[in-house]
Amino acid sequence: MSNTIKSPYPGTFYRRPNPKADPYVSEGQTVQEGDVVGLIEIMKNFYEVMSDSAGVVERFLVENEGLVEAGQDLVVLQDAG
Amino acid sequence: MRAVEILEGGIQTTVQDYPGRRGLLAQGFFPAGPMDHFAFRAANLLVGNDASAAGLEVTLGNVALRLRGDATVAVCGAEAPVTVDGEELPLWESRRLEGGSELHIGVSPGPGFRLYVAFSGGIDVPPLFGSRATYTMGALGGLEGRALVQGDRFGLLPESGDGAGRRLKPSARPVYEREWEVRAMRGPQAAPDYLTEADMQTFFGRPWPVDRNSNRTGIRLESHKFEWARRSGGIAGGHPSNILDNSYPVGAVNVNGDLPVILGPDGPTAGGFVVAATVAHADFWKIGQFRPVGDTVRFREVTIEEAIGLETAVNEILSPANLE
Amino acid sequence: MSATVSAVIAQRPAQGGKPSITYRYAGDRAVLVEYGEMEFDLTLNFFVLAVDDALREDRPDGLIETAPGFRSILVSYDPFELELDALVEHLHGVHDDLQAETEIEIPSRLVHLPLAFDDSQTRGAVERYLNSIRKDAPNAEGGTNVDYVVRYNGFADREELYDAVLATEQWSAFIGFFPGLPFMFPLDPRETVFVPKYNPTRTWTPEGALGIGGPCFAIYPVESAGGYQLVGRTLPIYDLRGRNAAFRENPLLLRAGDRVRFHRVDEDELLGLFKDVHANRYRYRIEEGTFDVGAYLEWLPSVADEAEERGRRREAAAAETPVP
Repeated sequence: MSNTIKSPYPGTFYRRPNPKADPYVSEGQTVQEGDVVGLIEIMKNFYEVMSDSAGVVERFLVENEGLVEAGQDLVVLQDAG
Repeated sequence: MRAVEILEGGIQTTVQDYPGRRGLLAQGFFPAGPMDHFAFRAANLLVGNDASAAGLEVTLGNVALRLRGDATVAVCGAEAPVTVDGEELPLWESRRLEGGSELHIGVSPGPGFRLYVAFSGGIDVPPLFGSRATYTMGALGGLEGRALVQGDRFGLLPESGDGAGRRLKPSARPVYEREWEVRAMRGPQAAPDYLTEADMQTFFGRPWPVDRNSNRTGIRLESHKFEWARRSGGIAGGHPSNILDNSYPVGAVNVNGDLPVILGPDGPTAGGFVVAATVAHADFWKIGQFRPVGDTVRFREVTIEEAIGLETAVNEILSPANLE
Repeated sequence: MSATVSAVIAQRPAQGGKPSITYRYAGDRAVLVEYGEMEFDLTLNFFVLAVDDALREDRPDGLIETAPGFRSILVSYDPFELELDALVEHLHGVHDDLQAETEIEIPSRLVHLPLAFDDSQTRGAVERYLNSIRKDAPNAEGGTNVDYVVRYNGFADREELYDAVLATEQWSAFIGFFPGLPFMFPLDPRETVFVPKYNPTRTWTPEGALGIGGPCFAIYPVESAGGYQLVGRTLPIYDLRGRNAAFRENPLLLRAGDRVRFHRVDEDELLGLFKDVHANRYRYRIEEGTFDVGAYLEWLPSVADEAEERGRRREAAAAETPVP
């Protein structure tokens, strides 16, 4: 079973907290509900994208700095169990 | 005293009034005011306010507020999930709400990008130079010159009007797009002295993408190499978009080097770049609804007579005759 | 749209000691009136301010506001109260009634301001730029813009630049871009300083910084982004909080037509004066007066040769200096 983490807002999607840091999560990594998987930048503000369930990151559907719409699928998660 | 408490401030929520802060262009103040003046004025009309009463401009959504004291409230603008104490409140309609009511505006999925909230009586914050509009570029006006945050609180001025709920006739409501058409007059700096006629045809012919970094200061479009009528700006500078500094009209499409930018209500008042066209005031509200993730805009050229005709039509739409 | 549509409404040739006049559409609610040619001719600004004055004295209903530029004035009007034809007629009348340039007298105050050259705050802004925006910027070598300005203009050393800035009154041609920001030009053409702007712009400038961009001097009223080369810092020229008596009636110290004369102080003294300003212990020195354009025009030829010589030296030096 898989589900997706969606973008809460329209804007620019970032996989890392800043250009020099590591990405928040990588493929194959396990995340818990509430873990930050990326940032959305809109109107010069940054908003955390948090996972709404536990699971394993299967793949990212949007590249770093990609432009996304509100509700757009960002990450595919496989259920942890 | 009637008041409003902010429970969730959202992305960028500011106090605005219409037509903003006029009479100070020569001192370096652009008027500010609502980016979509149509939806703002409609909301005021619905709650029985003067067009000039101060209300809220909500960018995208994610705003929650609580009323202290009764008020007639209307929300107009981009389609978004709006509820009062959990019950749906349709857009373009006013409703009498009791003190203690909580209004929630969710994220608008688009089309459109902003919503306006009007409260009967209007928002009471100290006017600055005769206006309550927030000028974000100058960090002044509105509530302390800034976007609202959780915990902010402001009063409402006494109401006039009967407080009854109304709705704007569906035929009077604007249609929001992803691919916009905006009418504009060429100039002040157009063909043949600054741009070629071919440039003007291109400008008015092609779709322009709305850049993700657009905001109240300006709608950034896309770099484009015009032919230009001059090889350089002469004494004003090396690029043919350079001119000796002049004041900009509200609605100016400013060509900054190769980049056209539609100046917004919080834009710079003057500068040294050509203005190839100026958006007709009747259409200027549209730029407040451009979604900076994939929307495009085409400019359609109009004469001054046509622009004024459009303005007359807008004023007629925003009249009590269109309330039911 | 027909290719014969023009951005130009009307034109008048130069006559009777007055420059040519071009009226341009600036959308459906404003007209841009330009004087003379796109030349760096300060006398065009004198004419602009005289027209501005005349429009202040005799303002037809529906004329909302005027905003001067270097060689132009933007006239905003309500097309439902004042038709374009009537506005243009009125402007023709104002232009006809105005005296020849040589007869014009402009209300003009003399404002004395202290100036600290190459102070640590402006150096800080340049350092910040080098570290975060562009580390190879030729105009920011060594963490200061001063040496670049010296080099670009062919000055022998920093003192020669400083002497040039201090030796002349700076004419405030207009206020714009940002609330209270004056665009100033040396009245003595021998003291012209010319320098390209930053590329790209800075994201931060200290309040009170004095910058030069092209031939123009500007004082930054608030912390903001900016593109002018920074040479020093003066006192606050804008205070919404009105901490000093000078700002009680109007938060903006300067207006178009003011002449600013700098006198040199060291950084410690400037910082002390800053505190005095905020504590309302400092009294700005502002003298009311008028500016006699005729006398100025009579005096200009006496310094023309020297101005030209310095101009040639500047051009030669500029040719050898990289542009950012």
